[in-house]
Amino acid sequence: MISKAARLSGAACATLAALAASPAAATFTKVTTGDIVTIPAWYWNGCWGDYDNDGWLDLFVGSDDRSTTNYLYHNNHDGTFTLIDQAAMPKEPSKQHGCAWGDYDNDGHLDLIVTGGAGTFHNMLYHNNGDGTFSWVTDGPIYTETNVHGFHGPSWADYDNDGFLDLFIAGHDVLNRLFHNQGDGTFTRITTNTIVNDPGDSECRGFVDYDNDGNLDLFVGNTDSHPNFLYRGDGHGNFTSVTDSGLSNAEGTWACAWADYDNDGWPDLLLANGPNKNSLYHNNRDGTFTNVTESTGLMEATSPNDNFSAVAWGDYDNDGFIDLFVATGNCYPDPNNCVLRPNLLYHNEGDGTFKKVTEGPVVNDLVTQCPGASWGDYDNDGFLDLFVSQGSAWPTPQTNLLYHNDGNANAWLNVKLVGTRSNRSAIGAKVRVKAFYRGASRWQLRAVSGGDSQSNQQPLSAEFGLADATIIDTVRVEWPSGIVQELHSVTPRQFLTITEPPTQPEAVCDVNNDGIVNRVDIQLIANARGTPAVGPNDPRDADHDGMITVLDDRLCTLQCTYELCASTPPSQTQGCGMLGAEPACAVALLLWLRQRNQRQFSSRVTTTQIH
Amino acid sequence: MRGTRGVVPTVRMIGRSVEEENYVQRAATALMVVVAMLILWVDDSAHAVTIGFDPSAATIASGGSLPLNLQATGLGGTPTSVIGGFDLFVSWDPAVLNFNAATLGSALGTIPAQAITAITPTTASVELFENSLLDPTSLAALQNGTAVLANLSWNVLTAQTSQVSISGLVSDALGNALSVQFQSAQLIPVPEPDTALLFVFGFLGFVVMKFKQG
Repeated sequence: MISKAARLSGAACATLAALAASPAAATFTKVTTGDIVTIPAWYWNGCWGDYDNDGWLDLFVGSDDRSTTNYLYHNNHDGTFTLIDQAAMPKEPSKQHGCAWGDYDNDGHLDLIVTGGAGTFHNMLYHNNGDGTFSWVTDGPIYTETNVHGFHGPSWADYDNDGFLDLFIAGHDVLNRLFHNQGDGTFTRITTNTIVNDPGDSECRGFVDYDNDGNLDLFVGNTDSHPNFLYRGDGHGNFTSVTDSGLSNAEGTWACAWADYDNDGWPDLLLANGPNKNSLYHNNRDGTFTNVTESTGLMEATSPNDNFSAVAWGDYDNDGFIDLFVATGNCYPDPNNCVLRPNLLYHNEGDGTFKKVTEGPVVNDLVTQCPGASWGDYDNDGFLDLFVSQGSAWPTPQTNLLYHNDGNANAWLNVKLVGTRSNRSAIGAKVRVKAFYRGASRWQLRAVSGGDSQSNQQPLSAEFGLADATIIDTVRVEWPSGIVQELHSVTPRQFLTITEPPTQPEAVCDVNNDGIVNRVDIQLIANARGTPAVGPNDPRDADHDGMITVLDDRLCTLQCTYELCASTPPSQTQGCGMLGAEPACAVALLLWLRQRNQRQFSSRVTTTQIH
Repeated sequence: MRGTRGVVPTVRMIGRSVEEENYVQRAATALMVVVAMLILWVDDSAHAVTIGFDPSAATIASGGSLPLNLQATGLGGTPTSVIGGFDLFVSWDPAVLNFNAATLGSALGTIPAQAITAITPTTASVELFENSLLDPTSLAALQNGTAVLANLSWNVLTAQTSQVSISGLVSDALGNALSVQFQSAQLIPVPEPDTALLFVFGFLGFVVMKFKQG
């Protein structure tokens, strides 16, 4: 069920571990050779995705040049990319204002949606044939739907939890679009859902479970004096418009992205607005958000004609706190009155604040318009590299920017998920990692996203920085299907592939079958030490050797639901006070809610040590 | 024999010069030394953790008491080289010792909040069970070098040569069986006063006899 990817960077582990005692900076080297950074065009976006399943990230870059050239770059595994043969991915003239990878037919091969932008251009849904070529899907509403104002960022998300990816597209001055996946390779347009009936000028979108109830929610950012939209999902395809969360402001939002920047287990939201500021909203864990832009050091001024245009979260120095890249230079409303400006990189200091990075090419290259930005570890060294698209509506075509991360000694983990009951791409899944680093035990959260920012998509894998951690106590996957899966004592510095079990794993260690593993179970196993197991599925025989021993007791201790095998969540035993005030409270709360509401979720997870 | 080094057998190869032969033999010797060291190293690493008593030998007297600390040495400070749980049996000669008491240490966490424990004595042995509820990282930080697992005490019934031995199963922090070398405590009786007196008289008699002969 769980397999370990072949690539483990073991050779350098000992040396790196010795050097990883303290946080270390990471620098970037600008890539200056290759088609990927030398072909000029009016680029809009960049989407990392391993379309040929070779274990290396490839890159699609959308262009506004209305040509018949598709910029899909195949990763050559040596730090270089090759522009694919155009016959492998046919294109008609289009403006390509958004892209997103997702396996909509669950066949194991990533498909691609590219939105048509403004005008009468069609959206292009590319079906991956599995042999390095793509078929353009021209029947159905995704292709036939056009509008003169434009379609921007697309997002894949299984909004009704039927196991198939649906498609949401942000509309510029038109209603947003939602296409339901029928499960047979076709889509139908949904017109009755709340999320496609609020008039706005939507430039960005991002699905996330912001209230940790296990269901996908949706944020949509608008420009031109329209308020932003927040919708709360019920997991069955129904959404409720939320207007009292603190997010429904008119901010001129061009890009948006969710991330748990303070490692409290709850996703926070960054808005790239125009002109004059970013907005960082801290999740108050009660359904509301607080604007913390100024106190966190992210307030940034631009000229009136400049807007922030893209945002990408990524822990580029692997210190265990996610950092932030914000692209600038989105000239609006006057594209003929633009100035060259540098992009912005903020280092997460780990104390709830950010520090602006001032050195290196990422923040010193003067750029034109950069509506696309995406972190991706294209050379599989465990460190996030950065792609920034450039051009969009600039008077002259521009070349893209690719920055290679030079790395440091910090530990990391890269998790790829394969859904079985959930959609195969695992979009909407949450990965939580618990490890001891920088002097404390911390949880981190990553959500697998089907598209965010203005028109981009981050890789479908979850990247974690782990600083000086030598072992990862817990890797927990919360699948869209509701299955919760855990691994324990995982070695850092590896690429890990986790496949969703077809059913909730059997309840090993839950001796009294009450839905959690706690001290009662550990005591029962201890009481039975030295006796033979009763049958092959005796929950007390964790190592399945036929005898109940101290080894079983210890193995089950590692699977305890709560810290120290307590019977109640930390919020009740460790003085969480406010809901989720401790770092582990969010996880505990989720588990507690599931145990209370659904027997399925209360069944204890079998964990498998990866070897 | 020319070129012999220690116990390395020498085989004179046809057509090989003496210098060549010496070189080959030196290389063979060096290889054997390396292999021997490697074997010793592997053997040593396989038993990196030792569980024994402090003190490892004690004198006992009838009617007295015997306190011993059960301790582990060679703990490495990593999840696979520290103790996450143990189920140990300490046994003795019931004609020599009568079990008095045992208390478990805090090497696996504070008791009872951070560990599940059990102490089950019989006339000739006591089972010491402890399973830590701490996570591997915390345990690794707690154990580095030497750790006291338990304090035990007995009443001495008869002072005679004996030993207190250990057996059982030990888990590392991850639930794997930990390779452990067990070391017994040697018990040596304190000489009885009348026995000592007889020895003194005998020694004096021997001296007197020698003096007369001289």
